[in-house]
Amino acid sequence: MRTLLLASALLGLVLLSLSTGRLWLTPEQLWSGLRAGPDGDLLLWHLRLPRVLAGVCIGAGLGLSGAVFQSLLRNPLAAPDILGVSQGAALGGVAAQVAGTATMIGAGLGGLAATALIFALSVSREQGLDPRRLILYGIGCGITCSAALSILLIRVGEAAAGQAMAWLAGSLNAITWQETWMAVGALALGGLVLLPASRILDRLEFGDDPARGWGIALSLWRPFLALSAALLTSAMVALAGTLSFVAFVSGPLAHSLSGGRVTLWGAALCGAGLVTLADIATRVLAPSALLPAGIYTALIGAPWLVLILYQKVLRHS
Amino acid sequence: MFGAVSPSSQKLLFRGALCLAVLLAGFVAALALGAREVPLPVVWQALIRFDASDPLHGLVQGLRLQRALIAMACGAALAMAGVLMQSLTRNPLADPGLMGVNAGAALAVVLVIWGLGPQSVPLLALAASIGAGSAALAVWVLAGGIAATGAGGLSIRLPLAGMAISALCLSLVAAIVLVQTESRALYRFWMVGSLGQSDLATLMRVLPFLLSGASLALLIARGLNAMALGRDIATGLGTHPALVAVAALLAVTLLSGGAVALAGPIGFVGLIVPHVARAITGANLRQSLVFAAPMGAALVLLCDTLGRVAARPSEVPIGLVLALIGGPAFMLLLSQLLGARR
Repeated sequence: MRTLLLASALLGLVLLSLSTGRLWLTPEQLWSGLRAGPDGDLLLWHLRLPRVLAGVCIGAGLGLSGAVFQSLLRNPLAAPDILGVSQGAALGGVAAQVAGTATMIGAGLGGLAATALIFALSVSREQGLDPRRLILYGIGCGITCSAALSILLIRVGEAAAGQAMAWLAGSLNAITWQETWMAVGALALGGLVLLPASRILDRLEFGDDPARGWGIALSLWRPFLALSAALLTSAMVALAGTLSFVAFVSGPLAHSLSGGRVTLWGAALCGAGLVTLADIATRVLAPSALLPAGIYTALIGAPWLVLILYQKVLRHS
Repeated sequence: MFGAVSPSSQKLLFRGALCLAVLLAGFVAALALGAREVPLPVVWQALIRFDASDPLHGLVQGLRLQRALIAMACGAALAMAGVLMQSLTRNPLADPGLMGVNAGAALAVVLVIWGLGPQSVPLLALAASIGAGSAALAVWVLAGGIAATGAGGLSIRLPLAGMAISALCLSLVAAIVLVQTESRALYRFWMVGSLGQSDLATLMRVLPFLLSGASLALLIARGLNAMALGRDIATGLGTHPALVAVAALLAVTLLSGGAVALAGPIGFVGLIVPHVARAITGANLRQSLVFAAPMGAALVLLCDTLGRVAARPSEVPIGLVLALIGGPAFMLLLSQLLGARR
């Protein structure tokens, strides 16, 4: 029921996003434009529709993979953008561009490498996986990757500086239909792998030992799910850069909206809504500058992180 | 790490001389190397007998000298701020760059310029200090405040709080800079920090902020030393933990606010240098502070020279060079800290 509500809210946002911009469309114009088809309405079909659809898919992919990471590690702070997975993917993507191969492959390899690195560093034989260590190592990984990325972009040359910013901050300004279809495909693939795992994630919430008691092969499922989620994140980063904090906020947001269950669907919907909202803000608040959407998602996400930390402080005192 | 034995004063003197020698070497390298190399005798000539007609003299005296001085001031200030923050938060990962203090200062400066137009340097330094202070206070409160100062263990909240505050401040800075101008140089200055945007006059105006911050830091070193023993013992020794904490925050504020006004938000100096300084001096905070200043100055000088030599004829901004060194250093530090507790 709540998922339905979320979905309809998202639909509303999408329609709003389609009609905003330098040229505002009334609902009638929007409807007739959509019915006119690709040849009838160039603005709608070639500029706004791919951008909005890509935003929805990228946001959903980020939200989904973020929620998987968070419940896999039982920590609301363990999102791919805090753990440095997104930054690793961005670094890999840009390195691939420089080397002349497909961005998607480089980003995937970068994201996988970052994930494997932080997991390998934080697993010990006696204690198993320690999420706190994972988060600390992840922060370091993210810092290192974004520094290397900036250097790489400077070496590429001044002309790439504008693109550099889009990569670092996350932007939907350069989306075409090709990227949109890639986003749809990546989301479909990721959803097929990750959504059925929600039962396993539900049981993981109770702790490692109870999960083993249910007969879940933890040593197999955890790396598999983490790497799949990392791949999904990387694919989205390859398309739009690091839209910071989307993956981090979506899971807890869906959690609090749906009353305490692991809802991967909800997280995906929240992520999609967030990115759509940020994209609307890009075009409405400062249309001449076309700020990267990632700036707006950070402005939503960073206060959220502050709030979580503040609640912990209150609980302690 | 905090419990190292203090070495003898003779050894300290020797190590201090070594630090100064490194700093001097860095200073000479910064003057001689760059897009165009200047032979050492000419550098000497330019400093001693300045000849306005010689373009090489102009390069050394006009551009490189002021840049080197600014780099040294920033490095020293950030390193001292790092020592203070690590001592105050009891967290070896604290750093004015990573904890969002520099980002807060940058936000304040950009806000003032945006709202009121171009302003005089002291006012901007004041704004930077206020921004740095607010950010430092916010991070400190989020990380647990004075209760966490006495507690042991590696806090995960401090790096996260720093991440949140710096992400918040930097995205606001990016938004304002991008809306206001299309200047990439300005954007780069305020996002990662770079030398070569300010001149000697700016340095002279900011210097009072840095000096007062440094003297305040040296004054309260004893109090912070006592607080390292725990709150109860500190109170027994006659220090007021709250007073010392406020004074330390104020010193951090002045030091990193001044540094940001000079060179934008540079990170990692305050993370790396205190560890080396502590390894040299042991647990004594005042000695750490004294040693951290020349070492931070030397680090920033060397990194800046590296950035200018590596990307001739252009340059890599100092913030990025430091981040590239500092990121792996952060990971290394973590693996040592976490490995020790395993």
